[in-house]
Amino acid sequence: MQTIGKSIIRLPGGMTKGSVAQVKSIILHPNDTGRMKDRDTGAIISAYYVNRITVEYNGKIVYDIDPSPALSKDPYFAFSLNVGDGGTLKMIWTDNKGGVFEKSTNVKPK
Amino acid sequence: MKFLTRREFMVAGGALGTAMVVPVNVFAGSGSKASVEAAIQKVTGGAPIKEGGPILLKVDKLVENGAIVPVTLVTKKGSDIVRMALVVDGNPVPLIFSVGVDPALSGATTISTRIKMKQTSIVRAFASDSEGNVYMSSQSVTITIGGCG
Repeated sequence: MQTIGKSIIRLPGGMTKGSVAQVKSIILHPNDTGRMKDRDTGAIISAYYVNRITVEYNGKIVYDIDPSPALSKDPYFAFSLNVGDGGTLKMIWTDNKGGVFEKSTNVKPK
Repeated sequence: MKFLTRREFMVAGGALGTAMVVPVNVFAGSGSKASVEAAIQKVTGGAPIKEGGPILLKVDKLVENGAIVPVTLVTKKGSDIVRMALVVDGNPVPLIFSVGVDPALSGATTISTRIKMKQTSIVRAFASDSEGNVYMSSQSVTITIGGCG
């Protein structure tokens, strides 16, 4: 399970300065609710889910999300962003077992 | 072994059926009215809820797989929304997420994600502006196969 925490941030093409862009993101994570049973053994799979997602743009928090385990497996989050003159977009995912996953990307509007 | 008459068999079967139905009802209480009200109270902080306004919830009316239900929350431009939340009445944990937003940096806020839904239920999207007004947009969603385990 080395792929847990692998993430992708996708920016739209053809951004102009001062426009609002739709950014898409996804992270590989099982997001187990703690209510499911293993099909073979019948044992309950313990809760393992993303419990915080933060979106920062040039060091300022744009979105601060507080999800329950009810986000789907591999949590997907798309959001609008006022790109301004460009800068660094950083996303941080935290899970309930202490995992912290970060991803940064440069926003370069024309 | 004594064979049951048809009438006795039907009565016994009926009793068994009832016994099986009752526990299901007990579990259905996981998304109980009290927990939904508690979730809404947590979101609104007791403020009165106005229907519609600057928030719009976009979700399909019929979804086949409850494990992946795409939802989109759209707010009007310039509506100064600082907090949004999503509540699904029929889920064991009704409050799906709450999100703090910086309206200056988000533009006209639009967020999309994918959620799990256990059963057919009402989905409610909440938005609060900086003056403390709370707006709601809701829709009933039919689930063919539940996805909460």
